[in-house]
Amino acid sequence: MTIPDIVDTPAVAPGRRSLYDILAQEIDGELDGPYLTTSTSVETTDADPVIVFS
Amino acid sequence: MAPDPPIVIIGSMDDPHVRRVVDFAPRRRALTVFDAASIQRLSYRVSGAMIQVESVGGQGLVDLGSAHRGWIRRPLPPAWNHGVVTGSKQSAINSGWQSLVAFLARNPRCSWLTGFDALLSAENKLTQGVAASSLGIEAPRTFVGDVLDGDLPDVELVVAKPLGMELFWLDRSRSLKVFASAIDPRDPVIRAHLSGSPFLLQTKLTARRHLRVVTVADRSWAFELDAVGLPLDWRIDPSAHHSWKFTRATAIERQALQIAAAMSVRFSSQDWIENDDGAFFIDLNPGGQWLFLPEPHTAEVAAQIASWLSGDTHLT
Repeated sequence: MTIPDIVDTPAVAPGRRSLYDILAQEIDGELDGPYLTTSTSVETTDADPVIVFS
Repeated sequence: MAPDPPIVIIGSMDDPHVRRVVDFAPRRRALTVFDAASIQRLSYRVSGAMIQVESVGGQGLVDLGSAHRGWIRRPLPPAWNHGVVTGSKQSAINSGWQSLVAFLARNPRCSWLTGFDALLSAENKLTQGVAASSLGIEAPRTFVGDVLDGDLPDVELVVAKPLGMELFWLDRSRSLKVFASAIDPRDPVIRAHLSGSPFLLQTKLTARRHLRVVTVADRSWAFELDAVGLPLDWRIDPSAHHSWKFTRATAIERQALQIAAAMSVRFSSQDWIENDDGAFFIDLNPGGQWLFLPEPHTAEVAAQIASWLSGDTHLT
């Protein structure tokens, strides 16, 4: 059996808009410094999406 | 004579904060440093009777079942899980490493600078606000919800911040970030975007200066940044990153230590704002950065963490 590496994950309430849609701005590499974060460690990291231990 | 107990750091030697602390750690002590990525290159053994992880100094496997102290800097590296699809084989593999590190981070034989579960709890900005409120510490009035009527003063602008992560990726090279932003809560466009993800909406303060307060156990350091001419979120202006100055802010530092104690975190990096009405607690990071702040105080912070880890500092 071939194990797919990609599994589609259905979006929850895909039509709902959030403030991410209007407040997020693209950043360049220079702005991606380590001090730009206010949150680190587990739930969020400096430069990466959410990671939650279960 | 029994050997000195080992020191555990959950983080990466690629992280300058970890290296700075390691520089101050006593050389005689065995040291193990790992996160969910680097532990994959180390030997480890876990059973009902033992917890062992390879040291970074060539001493072989270190017994973590003996009394020791530890610091959880960052269990996962910054690029961890980037691009990994939820439910994929790789996400299953990664979850195994995460679970292993979570177990090690909860090792009850270790006295942690900040315990794993306290650290998780303290990262939540709503929880932080409740802690500040319970101590009578001033903080911006905060609201989270999809209906605003009457929950905030009838003002033109409030500050919006995501309750979740600030940054996400369009693809492997392009990222978007949400900085603290002033919005008009009466704007129908804004209101139409409130239901998709919870955001913190806070009364807007006109900052005279920003303060970053770092706490380690019962010690604190305060740094100030003149807010004049800076954007609402000072992080947008690169020049601000290197403009912090050491200061003394006795009352704020005392409150910062109170919040840290209330949240059971022995390390914190806190943001405060001072305006014409006084000082306001903004947020707390239980694993935050401090190396962008001026020397020699950054070294003092690292040395204090190392001192605590080596047992030179009492368990306060």
